[in-house]
Amino acid sequence: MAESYRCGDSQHTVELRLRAGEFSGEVDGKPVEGFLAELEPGLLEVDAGAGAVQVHFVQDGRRIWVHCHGQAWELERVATARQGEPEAASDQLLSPITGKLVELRVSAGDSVAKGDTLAVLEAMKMEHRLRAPRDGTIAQVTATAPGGQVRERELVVELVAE
Amino acid sequence: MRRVLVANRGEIACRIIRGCRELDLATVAVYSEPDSGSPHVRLADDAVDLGPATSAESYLNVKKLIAVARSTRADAIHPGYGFLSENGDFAAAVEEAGLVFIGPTAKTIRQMGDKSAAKALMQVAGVPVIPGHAGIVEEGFAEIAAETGYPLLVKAAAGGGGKGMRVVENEDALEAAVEAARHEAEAAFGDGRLMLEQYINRPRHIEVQILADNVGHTVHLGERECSVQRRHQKIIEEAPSPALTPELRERMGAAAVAAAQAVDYRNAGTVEFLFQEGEFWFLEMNTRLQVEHGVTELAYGVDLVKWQLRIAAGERLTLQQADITPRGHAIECRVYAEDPARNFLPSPGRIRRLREPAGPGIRVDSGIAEGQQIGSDYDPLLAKLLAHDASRDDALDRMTQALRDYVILGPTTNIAHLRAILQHAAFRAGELDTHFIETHFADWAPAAPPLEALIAAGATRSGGGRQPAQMPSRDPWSPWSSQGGWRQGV
Repeated sequence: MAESYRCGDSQHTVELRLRAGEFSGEVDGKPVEGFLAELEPGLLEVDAGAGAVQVHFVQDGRRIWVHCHGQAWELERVATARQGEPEAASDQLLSPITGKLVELRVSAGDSVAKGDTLAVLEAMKMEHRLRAPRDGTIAQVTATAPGGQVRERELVVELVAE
Repeated sequence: MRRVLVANRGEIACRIIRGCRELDLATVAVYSEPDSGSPHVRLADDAVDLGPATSAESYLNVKKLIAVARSTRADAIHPGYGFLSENGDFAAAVEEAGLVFIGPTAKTIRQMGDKSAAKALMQVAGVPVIPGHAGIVEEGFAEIAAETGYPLLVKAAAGGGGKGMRVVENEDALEAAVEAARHEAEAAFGDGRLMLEQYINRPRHIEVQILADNVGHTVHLGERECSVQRRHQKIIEEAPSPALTPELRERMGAAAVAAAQAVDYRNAGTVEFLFQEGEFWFLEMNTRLQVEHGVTELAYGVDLVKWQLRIAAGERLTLQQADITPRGHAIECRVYAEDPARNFLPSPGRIRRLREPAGPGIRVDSGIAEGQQIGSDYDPLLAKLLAHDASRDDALDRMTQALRDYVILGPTTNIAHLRAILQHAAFRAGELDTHFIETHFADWAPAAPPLEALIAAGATRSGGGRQPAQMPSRDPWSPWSSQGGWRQGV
């Protein structure tokens, strides 16, 4: 069965059949085959035709971390390859970090101008400001009170849709 | 001096504990609640819980630290860097409690901690300083800014590490920059006083390491080139600097020694300069051990932490300036839990797999262990990777390979970004300034996962999340070990 993996902004499909140290299948629609061995728990050797490559990996639920060619990637297995998924509306200001909500300068119904600081967040001693992407009115704000924790990608402020 | 309390965490606490052990000094570690399982806690002879994650209640809690030193019968405190290391009140409280503060006197820390007063002192001592308004600016920013001229720098008087600093291109941006700098300075240092000075547009950041004993014998151990920075914070440092001639090295070294002597400096310290086209200006003095002290240790064959301990114990500094010469080239890369593709946002998470590089000329100053949770309470520095070799080119090649071998799975790290910098033609050529990252790496993005990474992911899936199905193991003791069917030496 084909699996889809999201890595940052890109998505990849992998369909693999394994049998006694060999694999064959398709990656992103292109046929692949080669050899596979586990050197130790969490370390594979993969030869897909360009020479043997060591791949460190860890899996936790839908998330898989891999390291090879001197670089690490975090992949997330997604149910199906969804094409043309709509981007989150830019009127939703999500927290870019997991950290502390230091200040919330607006409440629902407030008018704001483009560039206004709406909220101040802090993580690892770095301050991050959420600014209004355009002139508008606040539809809703997070229920978290200043001083509380917000998670990465959690909604902090939403503007009324135009 | 027999028992040292290390009032810090992470890699620097580990580094200091190792230095103590080599001198047969007992060690006491302290930790906040989220750090209870950290390597520095296990490395020390004794470890004491300071309480909650919030720095003010743990690593910045002067009363508690001194009480812990007393209860554990420590007779000296090493502050490391950050936290209380440049807090004159802390140094004074340590001395008043009858303990040894491993660093300069409280008076020296205060003199150098006030950037405005320090600048004035340096001017008197004949050390070149950045042109600008003398003293603290409290009001009338617009008028003083107009006199200083744009672009200018708004800078926290209590500042350091790039916090409370804003470049202002024109008058329209002044008010917002002053507000932001003051807010950040108040949050970081509890002191919102600001200075205005001329903005040097494309400087290198070059700093000079000094050591001084209690009777005023002061030497410098050459410079460190620290121009590669993001958000005013260094990420790559090397010694010697590719920009300095022996003549310039001697002049900057002499200026650093003069700066130290002007404040009766004792112990290890660093005088930071901006450098542009053969000219240099005093930036600030860091009255503590630097994050990047390791490159000086490798290039000069000197153990700065052990010297700190010996000087604090009252020993004389036996190094003579004429004997201090660099051997080869050393470079350091700071490994952070942050995402260079997303404006270097911190990236907390659990360290799920950790494999550190090793080999000739490689040093890893690490504060992490596999399984450890990297939180969002403190600076995201995970470890420092250092490489030393005969020439700059050799050291860079050695570092590039070591970065390839550094496996950290879990939090996003800057390792791939560091390697891209090491391989950049301008970096290889030593053409550096403090805008290097924004000039050459503004749009950097990591490569997409290669075929082998996707195949590995697919294989783990096929195995139902445990041992990949039908996958032979080369571990003869593995319960999954199959009876052949795989090729030797693929």
